Amino acid sequence: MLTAGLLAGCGGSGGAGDGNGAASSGSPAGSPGSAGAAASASASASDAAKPVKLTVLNGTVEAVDWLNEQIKAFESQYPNITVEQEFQKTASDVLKVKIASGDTPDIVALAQVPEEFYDQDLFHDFSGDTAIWDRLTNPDIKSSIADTNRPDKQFYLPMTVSYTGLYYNKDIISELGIQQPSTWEQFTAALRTVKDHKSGVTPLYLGGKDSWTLGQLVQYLPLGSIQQALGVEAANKAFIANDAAKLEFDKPGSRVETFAKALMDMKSAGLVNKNGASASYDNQLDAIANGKAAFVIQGMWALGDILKKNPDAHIGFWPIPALMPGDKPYMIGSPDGAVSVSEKSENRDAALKFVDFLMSPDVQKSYSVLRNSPSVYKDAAADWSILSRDIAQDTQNAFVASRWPWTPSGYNSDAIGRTVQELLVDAYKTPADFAKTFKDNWDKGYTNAAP
Amino acid sequence: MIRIARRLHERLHLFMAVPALLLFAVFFVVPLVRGINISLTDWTGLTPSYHYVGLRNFAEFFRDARAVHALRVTLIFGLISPLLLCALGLLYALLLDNRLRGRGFVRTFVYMPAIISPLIMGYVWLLLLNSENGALLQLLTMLHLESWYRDWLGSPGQALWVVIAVNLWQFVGYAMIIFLAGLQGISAEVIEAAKIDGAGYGKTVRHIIVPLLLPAIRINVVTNLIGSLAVFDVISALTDGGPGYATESMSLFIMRTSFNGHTGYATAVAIVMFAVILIPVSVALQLMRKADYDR
Amino acid sequence: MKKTPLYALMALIAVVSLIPFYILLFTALTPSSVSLADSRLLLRHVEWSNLSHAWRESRLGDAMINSLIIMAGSVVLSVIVSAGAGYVFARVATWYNRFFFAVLLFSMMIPGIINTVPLYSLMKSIHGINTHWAMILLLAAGFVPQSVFLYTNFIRSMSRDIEESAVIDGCTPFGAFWRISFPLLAPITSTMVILNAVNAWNNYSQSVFFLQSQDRQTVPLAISRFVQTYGADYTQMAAAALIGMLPAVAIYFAFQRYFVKGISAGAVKG
Repeated sequence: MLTAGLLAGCGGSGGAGDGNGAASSGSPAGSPGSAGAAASASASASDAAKPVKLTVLNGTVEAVDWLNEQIKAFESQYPNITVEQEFQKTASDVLKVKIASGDTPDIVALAQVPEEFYDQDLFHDFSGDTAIWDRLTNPDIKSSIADTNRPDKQFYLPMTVSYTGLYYNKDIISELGIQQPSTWEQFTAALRTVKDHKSGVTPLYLGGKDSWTLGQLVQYLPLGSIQQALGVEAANKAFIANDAAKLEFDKPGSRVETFAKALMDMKSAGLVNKNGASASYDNQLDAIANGKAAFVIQGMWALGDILKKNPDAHIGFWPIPALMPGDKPYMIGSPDGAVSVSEKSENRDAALKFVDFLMSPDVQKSYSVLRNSPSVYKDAAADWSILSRDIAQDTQNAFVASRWPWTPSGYNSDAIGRTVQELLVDAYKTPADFAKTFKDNWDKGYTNAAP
Repeated sequence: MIRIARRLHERLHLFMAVPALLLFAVFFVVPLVRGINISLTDWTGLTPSYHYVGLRNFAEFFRDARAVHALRVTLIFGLISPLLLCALGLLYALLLDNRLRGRGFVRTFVYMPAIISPLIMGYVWLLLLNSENGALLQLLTMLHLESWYRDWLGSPGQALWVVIAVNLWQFVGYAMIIFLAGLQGISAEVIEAAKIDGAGYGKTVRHIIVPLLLPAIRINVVTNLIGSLAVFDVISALTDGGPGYATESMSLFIMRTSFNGHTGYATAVAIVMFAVILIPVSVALQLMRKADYDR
Repeated sequence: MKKTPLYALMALIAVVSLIPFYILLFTALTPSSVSLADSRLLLRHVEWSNLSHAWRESRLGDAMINSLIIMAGSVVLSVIVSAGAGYVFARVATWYNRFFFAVLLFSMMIPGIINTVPLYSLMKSIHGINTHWAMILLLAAGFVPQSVFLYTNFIRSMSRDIEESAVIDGCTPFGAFWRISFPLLAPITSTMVILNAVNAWNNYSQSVFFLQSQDRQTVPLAISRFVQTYGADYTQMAAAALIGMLPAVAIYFAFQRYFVKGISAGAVKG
C-alpha cells in the first residue's frame, strides 16, 4: 500500500490524496459502468498486463479475514493485480496522518472519512455509475449518502444497512407483561416496573466507560429528535451549518436539556446501573446477554458478540422510545460499510475493478451475513440474523433515519460521550448546565477548515 | 597512501559521536523543527492549507479551561508519582540490601512488571478493577467482603489515584534497582561507624545513607519526573482520560486535539508541555546540587 | 533485627509485584463464554486453546519475528553508536562536545508528540514506512540520549591508563577503545540492552503509524487487535500478551545479573 500510495503521492495528487472513507466512487465516466467483475475485465484489456499493487485501508476488525478472502478471490481473477490490506484500529486517525503527508490509500473500506477530505475531491465520484444504484433495495439510499456539501456527488458505495435500537430481554419483558414503549413516559414506566419487580436486574444498562456508547445516546435522542422535526436532510444541513436557530441547543426546555434531565432522573430513580460511567461496552453486552439487564440501547453490530456470550439469549429489538412528546420512536437505518476509491491514485482504474468485485452479489451476500445486517442490494438478500423479522416490523411504525446525525469533527460521539460521563458523575447541577456545556463544545468542534 | 589511512585512523576516534548525532539530528531534530513551525499556524491537520498565527495558539492555551485542567492533572500525577516512586523504591532497596536468602529472586520479581508494556498493564488493571466482574470484586465476594469494593475508576476524584497506584506498581522496581546500585557503593565501614556511635537505624538512614545516595536520588528523580509528566499509555488504557475529563493528562489532550482538527494548536500545547517538564526538572536538579554542596 | 518479619515483607513484596502476571494468566486461560456470574478467579475450566487461538488470530508468530528483528537491530545499533559517542564526550573535552552532550540530555524532556506528523512525512520521503530498517533507525535514535548519558558517565569513571598504554603499544585510540575498553563496558552494556530491548519490544506509539501492513506488525500491534472500539476480547488479549512477553522476559533474565552493577557504575557513581 505504501508503494502504491507513494506513487500516487509523487504522481501528482497534491496533498492528502484519498480521503479516508468509505466513499467509494462509482466507475469513472469513461469506462462502462459494470457491477460485476466480469464486465470490468473486458473493459481494460490493455491494463491487464501491467502489474499493479493496490492498498486497502480497513477500519473494521471483524472484516479483516473476510476482506482477505475476497482479496484472494480477486487476485486469482486478476493475476496482475495484488491487493494489500492494511487494518488499522484507529483508521480515521491514521488516515489523517497519512493524507497530511500526501500518502493516500488506493481504497478505503469500512472506516469514517472526514468530510473535509471529500471536499478536496480526493475521492472518486460514483454518481454516474447507474448500474450500481439500480441495484439498491431502496432508491432513497443513494440520496441519503450523497455528499453533504455537493449532493450531486457520491463519494462512497454502501454495503449494508446498520440499525440501532433498543434491545430487550424477551423473558423479562413477557414475564412482566411490558408492551413496546413508544413515548418516554411509557419507557420510564417500563423501567420502573423492572426495578420494582426484578431486583438484581438493571432496567437500562449503560456501558459508559466506552464513551461512544453515551455519545450515541445523544445522537439517537436529542439529535434524532431534530431529525424528526426538520427532516433528515434539512437537519443534516442545519448541523453542518451550526444553525443555532434551528438547533436550539441551549434554549430552555430544549431537546438537549430534556435529554440531560431524563438521564439525571433515571439515575436518581435507580433505573440505570450505578456504575454507568465505568462499566464498559463489554459489560453492557454481557448484561443483556445474560439477563442482568432488561434493556440496552445499541446497534445491530452488537448482536454477534451478544450471541457469542450467550448463544441462547432471548433478545428482541425495538425502536428507541421518543424523547420528546409528539415524536415517533426512533431508529437509525443507515447505509454502512462504505468503500471509497482515491481519485488521484495512479492505480485508480485497478482499484475500481476491485471495488466492482466487492460489490458483486455473492460477495455482498457474504458480507451481509458476516455483519448481521441486511444488504443494500436487491440481489444480495441473505438470512442475516435472528432479528430480521423484528427489524422488518420495527421499521413499519418508527421514524427510521437514513443518516446518522452529523457531528463536528472536533466533537464526535466519543467526545460527546465524555460530556455525558461527566453528567453521570454529577458534574452538572442542572440539565441547563449540561446543555450549555454541550453547546460550547459543539461550537468549538468546528475546525474552520478551509477547503 | 598508507600514511594517510594511518593518519585518518589515528583521528577516527574524534568522529565516533557522529553516527549517534546524525541519527538524532535526522529523526529528532528535523521533525522537531517542523513541529515548532506547525505550532505557529492554525493548521487543522485535515487540509493542506494553513496560516501563520504567531503566538496565538499559546495565548489560547491559557484561556482553554480543558487545557488548563489537563495541565493540573499532569502536574498532580507528574509530581506525586516520582515522590512515591522514590520513597517506595528506597524502602524496597533498604529491605533487599540485607543479607537475606532469596533476595535475588525478589529483586527480579519486583522489577518484572516494568517489562510489561504500560498499555497492557493498563488493561490488566482494568480487568482487575472492573465493577462487574473484575478480579478484585470477585476476590472480595469470595471473602464475603463485597461491601468493601469501591468503583474507583468511576469516580472523578479517585480515578487519578488509581492511575498513580498502577504506575507505582509498575515502576517501583526500576527505582529500587537504582537505589540498590547506590547502596552497594556505600562501604560497610561507614555504617559500622554509625552503629558504634550509637545511631539507631532510622537516624543512620536519614543522616548517613540518604546523603550518600545523592547520585542515585538524582537519577531517580529526574527520570521519573520526565516519565511521569509525559505519561500517556497507562492513562489511555486505564481510564481513557475519564470519567469525563477527570484524568485527561496533557499528553492525552494533545493527542486528541491534534487528531480532531486542531493540529497547530495541539503542537503549541506540546511545546508548553515541554516547559512543564523542563521547569520541575531544573528546579529539582538545582535543589539537589544545593544539597550536594551542603554535605 | 529479627529476620522473620523481613522475610515476611519480602514475600509480600514479591507476591504483590507478581499480581499482574497472575491476572494475565488466568484471564488468558478463561473460556470466553464464561458469564458475569461465574467466578473466574478459581479457573474451574482451563481453556488452553485460547493460547493457540490467539496465536493464530493475531499472527503472533510473524509479529514476534518482526519484533525480534527490529529489537535486535535497534539495540545493537544504539549500543554501538552510543558507546562511541560516550567515549568522545567522556574523553575529548571540547566545547562543542559539551554542547552536544547537553543537547542530548535536554532532548529527553521533549514530548514525542510534537514529532508525529512531521516524522510521518520524513519517513515517507525516505521510503521507510513499513520497513524494518527505518523502524530500527527510528528506535535507535530514540535510545541515543539515555544510552549516551550512561556510557559517558561510565567511561568518565574508567581510568584512562588502559587505553593510554594500548596507544603506547601502537594502537590507535579508536582501536584501543573498541578492543580494550568496550569489553570492559559489559555491565553498562547489559543494562542498556535490557532497557532498550524492552522498550523496543513494547513500542506501540511509533509502530502503529509506521508498520502498517499485517505482515510487518510487531507484537504490541498484534495484541491490540483484540481490544477494539466495538468489543474487546480480553481473554485473547491476555493470551497474546502472555506469549508476546516471553522474549522480553527471556532477555531480562539473561542480562539481569549485570543490571545492578551496570546501573551502579554508569549512573550512580559520581
